[in-house]
Amino acid sequence: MKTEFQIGGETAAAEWSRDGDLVTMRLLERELKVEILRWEPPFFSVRHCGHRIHGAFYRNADFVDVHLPKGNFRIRFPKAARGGKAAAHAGGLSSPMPGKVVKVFVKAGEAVKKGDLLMMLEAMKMEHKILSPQDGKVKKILFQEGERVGQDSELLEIGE
Amino acid sequence: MTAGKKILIANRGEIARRVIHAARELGYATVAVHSDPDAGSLAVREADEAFRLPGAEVKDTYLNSDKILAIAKEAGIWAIHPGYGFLSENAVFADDCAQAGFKFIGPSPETMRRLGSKVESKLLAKKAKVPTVPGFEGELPSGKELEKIAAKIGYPLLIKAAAGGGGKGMRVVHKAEELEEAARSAEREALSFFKDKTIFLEKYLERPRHIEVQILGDEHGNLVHLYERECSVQRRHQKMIEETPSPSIDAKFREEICAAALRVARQVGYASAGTVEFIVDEAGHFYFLEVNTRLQVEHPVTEAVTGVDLVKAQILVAEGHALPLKQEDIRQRGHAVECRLYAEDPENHFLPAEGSVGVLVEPQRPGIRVDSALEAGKPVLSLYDPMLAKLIAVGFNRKEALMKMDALLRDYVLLGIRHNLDFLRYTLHSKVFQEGRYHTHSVADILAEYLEKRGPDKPAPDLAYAIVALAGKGGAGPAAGAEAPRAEPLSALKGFKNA
Repeated sequence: MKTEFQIGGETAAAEWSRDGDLVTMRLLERELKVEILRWEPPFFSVRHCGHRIHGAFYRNADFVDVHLPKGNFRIRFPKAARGGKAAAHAGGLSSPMPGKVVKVFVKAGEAVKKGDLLMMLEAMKMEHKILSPQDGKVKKILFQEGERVGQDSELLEIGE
Repeated sequence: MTAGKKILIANRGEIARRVIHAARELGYATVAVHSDPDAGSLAVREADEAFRLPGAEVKDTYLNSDKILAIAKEAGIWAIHPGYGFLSENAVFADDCAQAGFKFIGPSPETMRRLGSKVESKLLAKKAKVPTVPGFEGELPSGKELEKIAAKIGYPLLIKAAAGGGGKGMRVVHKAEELEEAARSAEREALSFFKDKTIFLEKYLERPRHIEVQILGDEHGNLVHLYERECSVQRRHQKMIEETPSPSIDAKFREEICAAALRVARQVGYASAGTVEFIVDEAGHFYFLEVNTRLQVEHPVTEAVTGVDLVKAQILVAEGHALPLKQEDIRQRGHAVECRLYAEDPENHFLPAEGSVGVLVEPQRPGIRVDSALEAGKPVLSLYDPMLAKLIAVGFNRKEALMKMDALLRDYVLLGIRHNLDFLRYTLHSKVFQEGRYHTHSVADILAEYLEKRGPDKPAPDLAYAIVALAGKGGAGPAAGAEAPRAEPLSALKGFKNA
């Protein structure tokens, strides 16, 4: 079987097979053997490198969160496999977090320089500045002051 | 005596539950208020009565004092507990409560007003012979005069907005050449945020520690302290880990700082629970910072080592009772530490995270207290504070408390939303924390180290990928995958514009 992951912006494929409770996986040139001791989603117990490990997982459309004694890890699937968020088009600036637009510092048509403060977002008492990534002109402002934005919402468009 | 008396809790989340439980223990009925997204929350379900604050935004709901007072009237309550945040330090609201005939559980509006003003509280501290950070509070001149004042305080300097908070309008100035421009830009920022361009100068402490003292007073003139809390582990000016006793002070320092806190509180005849905050420089001098006229988020660590229930004490004082304990009855026993669980991503500049609680396991063990309002299947919204829960461990000594906390952080399971559990654990293990030598900027260094290992580009342990492969379709047979219902937290709110 094959499962693809997104690791640091790259897509990595894992080849794996299962024989009863034994799972063998090859990922990034490494081989890994895991024995399933208990599989009762969201909880599991496995034997790995001679240790019994108890953990939990949570599956969503874009990712799986895994809890191990070592820590908590979000494993993402490649963007294409997620079935479809359109990639932000060139010049677009998107919101790095869900929140509210508290201030818009520019107007459509205004010339801006790289590093200029364009917008201020706020979420959970925290502010985040949206700065211009380039010299250019504000082509479009998609959200006004007081409006809520989701993560990855496109906020403004900067063009030549 | 309390039969039929009701307390309204003007808050949400873990603190609303904390107050509900304390009030109920004392025999009061409890009234919850809630925003629309919080309608099905644990606090609402635990209260005896619940009333709706229409809307989602805090200004329409938990800050809507008129609506809260109207509900108070309708429910026929005796008192309002504001929790922390929201209306808890709003003297106007406390006045309005009194006028409407409700007891505000907290100090008097006059006390709140005097201590709430940065300028007046500093003057009160001076009057109480408590050191304050050297600085200049008068109207700032410009040019040579400004440089003279700055030179007298000494560099590095901190420029602060008088009406400010949360780092807005703040500038650190290292040399005279930067002063004029920094002052003007701080003024502009202060004007745009607070409509008040007043700024003042303060000596900037390079590696300060934040130590605060819990105080408790009644309306009969009794006043005690419940020792200190060390709160220097902070990110973005917000506390992340607190502990008591402070690992960095000795008995003499403790005695002095606690006495100083009481002197400030006596200036205003403080009657309720409150916290006097200090910053401590590298040479070991402490300076008065401010008084928080409310219950602190981190109050559980004090409760753990003193055995005093601060919320119940607040309610008893509000009833007009005298404090049931004297200073000599209060001792620090053992060591307590609190970690704040935040919905934020340390791997991405601590940006707030949104999502839903997919899997939740909150361990219950000897010496462990979890103050939380989390529930599996519930969304976490960026509308409200990112703090999800408080994890508190108490041990015979610091070493034991930290070991308990480490195990708790390891075994606490929260999946479906990004959080800081792993970073908390990493911080706990850091050399500066283990040795108790940290200051308010230590988190930045610890984070840099953490990101070397756990940056967004770094792969997870191989085992995690194997689990994900198995969790996928066809992985572990028909039972594969914990397919919890996908929550859509954003679209659940009316008026949301979301791509």
